[in-house]
Amino acid sequence: MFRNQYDNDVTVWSPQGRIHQLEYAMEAVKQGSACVGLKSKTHAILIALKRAPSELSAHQKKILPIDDHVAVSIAGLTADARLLCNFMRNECLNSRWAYNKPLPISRLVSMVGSKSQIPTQRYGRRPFGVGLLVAGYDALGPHIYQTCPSANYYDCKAMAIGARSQSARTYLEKHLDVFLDCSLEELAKHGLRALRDTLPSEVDLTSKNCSIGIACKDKKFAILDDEDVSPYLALIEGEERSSRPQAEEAGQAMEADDAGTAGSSTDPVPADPQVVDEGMDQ
Amino acid sequence: MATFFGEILPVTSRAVDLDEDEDDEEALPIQCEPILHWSKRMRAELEKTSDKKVPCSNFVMAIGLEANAFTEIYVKQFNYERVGGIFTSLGDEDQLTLSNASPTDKTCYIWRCHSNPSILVCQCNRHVSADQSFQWAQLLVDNIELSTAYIAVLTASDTGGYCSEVPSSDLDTPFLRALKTEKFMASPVCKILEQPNMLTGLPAQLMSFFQVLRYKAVIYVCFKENKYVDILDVKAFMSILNVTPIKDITEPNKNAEQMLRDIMELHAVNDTLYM
Repeated sequence: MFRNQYDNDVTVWSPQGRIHQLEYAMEAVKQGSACVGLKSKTHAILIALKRAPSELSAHQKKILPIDDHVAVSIAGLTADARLLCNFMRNECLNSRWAYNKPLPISRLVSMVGSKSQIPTQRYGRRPFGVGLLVAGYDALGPHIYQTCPSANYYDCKAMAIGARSQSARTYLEKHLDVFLDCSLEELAKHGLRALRDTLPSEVDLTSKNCSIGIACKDKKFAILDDEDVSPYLALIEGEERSSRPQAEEAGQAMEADDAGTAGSSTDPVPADPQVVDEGMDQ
Repeated sequence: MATFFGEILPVTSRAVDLDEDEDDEEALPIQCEPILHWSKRMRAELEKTSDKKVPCSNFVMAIGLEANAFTEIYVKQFNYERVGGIFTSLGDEDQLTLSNASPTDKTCYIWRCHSNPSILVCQCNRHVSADQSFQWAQLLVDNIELSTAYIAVLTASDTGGYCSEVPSSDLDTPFLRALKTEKFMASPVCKILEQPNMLTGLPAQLMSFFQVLRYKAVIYVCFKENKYVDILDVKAFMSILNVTPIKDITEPNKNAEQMLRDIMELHAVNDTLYM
């Protein structure tokens, strides 16, 4: 990404047909901590990494209940997430009032997509800077949906968003075939392992930094925090973590010897100068 | 704006509400000229020198939270004493003395190794504006004898401003890039910062000074994705510990893991904009 003259406004197209503000808004999701969503034939679960809470204030929740059958996990701007959550709660309430039935998850997500699209096409507005993982259970079974600041939404078998979520997605892709037939405990184990892969080796999942949300048939959406998470964490206790791929730089590190060995090392060769234009973004 | 009847009406901006700020004229200036203040003991030592400059053989400059955390955990291993500070601002969260009350205070202190007084570490985690950076760098070179020293500057930057052919979402962050002065003959431990990327602000001003004065200096920039301080971003500087002469003035820290966790928690608590 590189600053250019077409990125000041969301209503401006670049000559390549890109709206840079939308792409920048997508980056905001990566500023939030990671969360993972996955589903089996019977359950849809969310597992989220919480930031360290302040001792002076109530800590922010990462998994927010929307209705009895659906909840979301957020990554990105907290205030934007709150606004979308309130909207979703409103829509679910209206559906229960009008039809006496829970709102189907696909319809709810579609409404979020339509609402999110408006500020991507208005002068003076900005896209929502938050990504959601929506987990729920309705008449069609368990669902996991992902929404983006670009107003796109995706029906997922499993997904991870937030900081360093690529490691979690890699894990989910590797084990995708087994999720459908998993029990709740097995599904939770996979989710916790995927989330753990987003953490550096010095940090581990604990009951303080982890939240779990569970959706299933005929039961209210359950959000577990603190001690309630411990039984699930115990399921993966003692397991070896996946090794993190070594950074490319370490492999190519050259010993820098400054002890008066002038002339013994070659001058570094910078890359060829790049023309600074739209082509840089490709 | 012209109306249908040909009147000209003023048009208010749709984008921004320009509130009148009546307090502007009465606001106290926050920024001041940079001042370097030595401790009492250091002042007494400098009185005895001919050029009033602190002798230095190794100088490590840390700018920003990640670099500060790295030097705190991995470089300042032997007994270090606080000998000076550079002050640039009168804001509420800026410390104006040589004793910081809170670990999250915005400070810029100079530390000296007890066992080897020619090793200096400067940790700066306050923002130095562009118009102050020249005087800031001038203060440093006027008060510390760096002409024969090995100088390493550590800082961090966002990948948002990093230009490459690879899309930023595909970059393997964090990663290190380096720039060096002409007098620095050795090769840095990572790739040189590719064009058209460039440094700005205080790090750039320092390197310009060192280049003009023909000092031996290298700067390592950690490009990171996260706004928040992250353990991996701090550990991106680890390869520098294998470099002479830094490897001769540091040793492995057995408490590194716990210190890393403590520092992350300290800063994570105050960052609630993104969740």
